[in-house]
Amino acid sequence: MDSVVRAAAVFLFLMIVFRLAGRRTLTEMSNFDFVLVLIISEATQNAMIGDDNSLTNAALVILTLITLDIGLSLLRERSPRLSRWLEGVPTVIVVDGKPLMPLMDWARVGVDDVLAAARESQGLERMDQIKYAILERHGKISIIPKSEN
Amino acid sequence: MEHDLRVQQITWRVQRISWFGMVLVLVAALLGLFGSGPLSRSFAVDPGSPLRLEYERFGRQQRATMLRLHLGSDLTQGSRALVWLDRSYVESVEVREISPPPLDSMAGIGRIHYTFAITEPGRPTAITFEVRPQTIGSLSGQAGLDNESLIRFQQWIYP
Repeated sequence: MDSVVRAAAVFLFLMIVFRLAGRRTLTEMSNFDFVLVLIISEATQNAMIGDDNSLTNAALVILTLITLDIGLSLLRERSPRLSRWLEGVPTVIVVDGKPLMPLMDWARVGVDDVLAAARESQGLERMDQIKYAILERHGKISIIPKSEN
Repeated sequence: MEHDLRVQQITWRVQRISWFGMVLVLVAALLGLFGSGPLSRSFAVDPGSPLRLEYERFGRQQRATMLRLHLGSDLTQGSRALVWLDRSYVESVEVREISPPPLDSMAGIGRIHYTFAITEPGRPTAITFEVRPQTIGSLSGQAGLDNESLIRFQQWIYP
């Protein structure tokens, strides 16, 4: 019993914390984020396993996490409303080459980030070549370039 | 592009069915089929004696589990209580802690005896052994008081 409860508690806690932390936390991993992930995994391991190193415990913990993940994906698919709250919504942050600064500030995305995404995905150089920039639910910035003509 | 929809549909179907299996396993785990839970908690008694053994029917290798001997008031008349566990059980587990600690322990041919001080004669009490099973599979044991009562119990130890 306690294996399942511990794993579920850790899963829900991490889900809430990462949701509160916001989407920039884990997508564009900096060195510090990488260290953070390592430390978090160590800490959660202790919380989930405790002093029970049995095979059965490991199997139950894994099964709990995967089942919760499947369950949440089913819920998200069925309820778009829940999905919006759990995963966030795509946000337009640049329109016709004009950055929407209040939104970008809230999202903690800078002009540099948008330009970097524009270079990487579309090979664009300037802000005025961008028609739309959208901060996606998973933290990536997608760029729609202005058409050439 | 090659597109084998049949294989994909079978895979999806198998996945959906396996999800139900996963949920069933988790429900069984919550109920205690893999240790710690209502299905696992168990009592064994010696008919005709107010001695009861509380134990877990399902344990896991190397994970601490409790054996708790409940002594009824008839059994604590003197200032000492002599409890024993059978030797093969003690050798299949690691006895981590006995609470309260025994005054004395003695090894016999088939039984290991522990002597405990009783502070309030005539009142019920309990003695707890914390053990870690070392083997996998079925584990049977015996426990008792003095040389009279005998309780048999059976545990299943998961790897």
